[in-house]
Amino acid sequence: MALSKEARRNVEYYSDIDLAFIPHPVTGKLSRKTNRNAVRQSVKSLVLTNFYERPFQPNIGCNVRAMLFELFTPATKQKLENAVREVIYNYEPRAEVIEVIAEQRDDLNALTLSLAFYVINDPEPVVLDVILERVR
Amino acid sequence: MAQANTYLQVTELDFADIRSNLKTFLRSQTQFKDYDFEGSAMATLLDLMAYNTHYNAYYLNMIGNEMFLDTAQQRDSVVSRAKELGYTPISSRGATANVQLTFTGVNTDVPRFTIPEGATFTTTIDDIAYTYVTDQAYSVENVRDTYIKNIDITEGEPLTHRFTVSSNDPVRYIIPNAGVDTRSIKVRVQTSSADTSNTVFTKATNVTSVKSTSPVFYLNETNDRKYELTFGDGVLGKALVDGNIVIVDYRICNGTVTNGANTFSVDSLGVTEAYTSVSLSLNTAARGGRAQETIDSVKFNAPKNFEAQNRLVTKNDYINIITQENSDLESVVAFGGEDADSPVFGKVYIAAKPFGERFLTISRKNQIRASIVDRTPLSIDPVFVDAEYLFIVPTVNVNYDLTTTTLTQKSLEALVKTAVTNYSTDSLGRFGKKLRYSRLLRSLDNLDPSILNNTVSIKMSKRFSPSITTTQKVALEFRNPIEKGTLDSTQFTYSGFTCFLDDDSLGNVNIYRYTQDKTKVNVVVNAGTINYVTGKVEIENFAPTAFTGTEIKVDVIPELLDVTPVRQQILLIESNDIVVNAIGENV
Repeated sequence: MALSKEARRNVEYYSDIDLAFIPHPVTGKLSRKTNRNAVRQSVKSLVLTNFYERPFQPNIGCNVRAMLFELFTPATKQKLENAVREVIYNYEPRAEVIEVIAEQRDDLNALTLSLAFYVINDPEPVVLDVILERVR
Repeated sequence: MAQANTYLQVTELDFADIRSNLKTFLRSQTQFKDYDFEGSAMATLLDLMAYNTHYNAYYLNMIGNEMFLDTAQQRDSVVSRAKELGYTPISSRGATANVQLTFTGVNTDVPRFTIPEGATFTTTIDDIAYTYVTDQAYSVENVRDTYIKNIDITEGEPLTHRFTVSSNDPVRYIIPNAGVDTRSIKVRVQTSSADTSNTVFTKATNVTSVKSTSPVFYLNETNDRKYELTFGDGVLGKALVDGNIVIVDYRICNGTVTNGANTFSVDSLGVTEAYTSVSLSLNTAARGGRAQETIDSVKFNAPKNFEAQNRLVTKNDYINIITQENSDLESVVAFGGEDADSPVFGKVYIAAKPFGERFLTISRKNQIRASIVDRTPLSIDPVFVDAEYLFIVPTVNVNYDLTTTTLTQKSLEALVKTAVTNYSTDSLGRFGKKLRYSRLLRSLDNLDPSILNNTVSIKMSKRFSPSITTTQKVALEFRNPIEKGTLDSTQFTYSGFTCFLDDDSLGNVNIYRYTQDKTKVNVVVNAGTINYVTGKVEIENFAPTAFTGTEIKVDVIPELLDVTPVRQQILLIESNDIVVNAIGENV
């Protein structure tokens, strides 16, 4: 028997810890991220991870922070977008990238990365905006 | 969450294996499924947990290693393990030279005066000046109005360090310098800053003889190659009290750096008697300097030291301990009196060969004997004997191919001579080292591709310097079987004739001369005996009136091609004795 749309939505394909580590307001247990949200958190985590940050796994990450010190030329923009596509392709098999757009935000002294991707087996696209800015 | 601990594997120590095991464990639950995806928070947590586990495993492994002498890598750990076996690693040691001082301009009414401990001398190597000092006081006697003294001087910079004893603010008595020569450590304990009387504390070597009032200190190597003194607690040695001042005099030395130094100048003697000048001449170049014992050496020696319990029982105990404690000795041999020529029970005979010399000085022999005498069994008397040298005189005939070498005959002969000298240096020159005939031949055959073959005939040679004023009995011990009728000697004057020694193949030694028509005539028939089996030659009432050079050489041909040194015998080939004939062939 085929599951209804509502029922499909309630099936947990993916489940992960919420990196915010906020306890559930009712049960007090650790919050969880599931399905689309879990993949979204994973993609964001990969984008913000630098090479050599993960112990014994130096290749995980996309090194976008290193590019923040480059002049934001069309070449840098392309490089940045490629790096994001590459890390998702290599380490997040659940996501299929639709588009990555890097934009300069002079007003914030930052760059924004806008990602659109499908989660495998889910027809609705996921949009993720990541702001890259100085931390100090 | 987890169903059972059976999912958790804990035997792996590598990061990847630990991480994999944690994943296996997580497969037993359903709440968090994303551990397989590298971007997930679960994967990041797994990384951290696996890293932490791996880190702890590595750390525990290192701790495990450092806990045992066999596997410890850090010097501090090795030294600490060795301490449990009662072993203190040997410190750096300054080289020691022997020099003669001749004083002039001393008032001849003075019967003697003293060169104090700590008199300083200087030598310079590669433009760096090194200090040598006397480590004891020497008395210079007036001998027919001359003042001459042979003294030992040892490399090292003398230093002093003071510690104040306080129970409220306890200090560790650590000598704050690397390169300490522990032989030079001298400890005095001053009663207090107000009362300057002091007591000399000596190093405790045998804890069983230490009493509650014994003024002793214990010495151990501690962290960073430094040495720490500890004192008694009122039971095992006299205890220190608050206000005492521990004064430590010691030297820091440069180990092997000044070995071989042979030019010294007087720096400051501290002699109170007036003199005009002092001249210095070298007796023995500096030797015996050594670096602090290495980790590998400590690992090797500590268990053996424990086995011997710092006691000298077997002959190997004597050899090992004397060699280990005296860095100036190249080779040591020991044997029981029951194995001597004439068995003497209750004695152990020891012979030692120093580096660069043939014989130990009497004072050095006494020093070494004093250092071991309280570690021998009660009924055993250690006796030092001189090394006995048996010289090998080789005559080498080498056939070589003229067409395959550019070497001249002289060059090839020089090459062979050097090779024989090297063979002596590498394979002989120490106690127990046999002359292995075939190996000597093989080393010469392999010397150069042009060498076709070689033959070596060898003689054994003993040297002695007889009195030319009194008759005496001469005994020469070859200690190897002798071929009959081969005894020969260098010339000497006897009854007014130029004479030689030979044997009659019947066990008798004759003194003979040549007449003007080159006929052999015996001057003394049966002057002595020769035992062809034991290799002993004895000449009674030998009374030459002159001889050539500094000694008479007596040569014999050994019955066997291999020559074996016995007990305190050492085989040597002197380069002057080597005869080489190179014969070229057109092959």
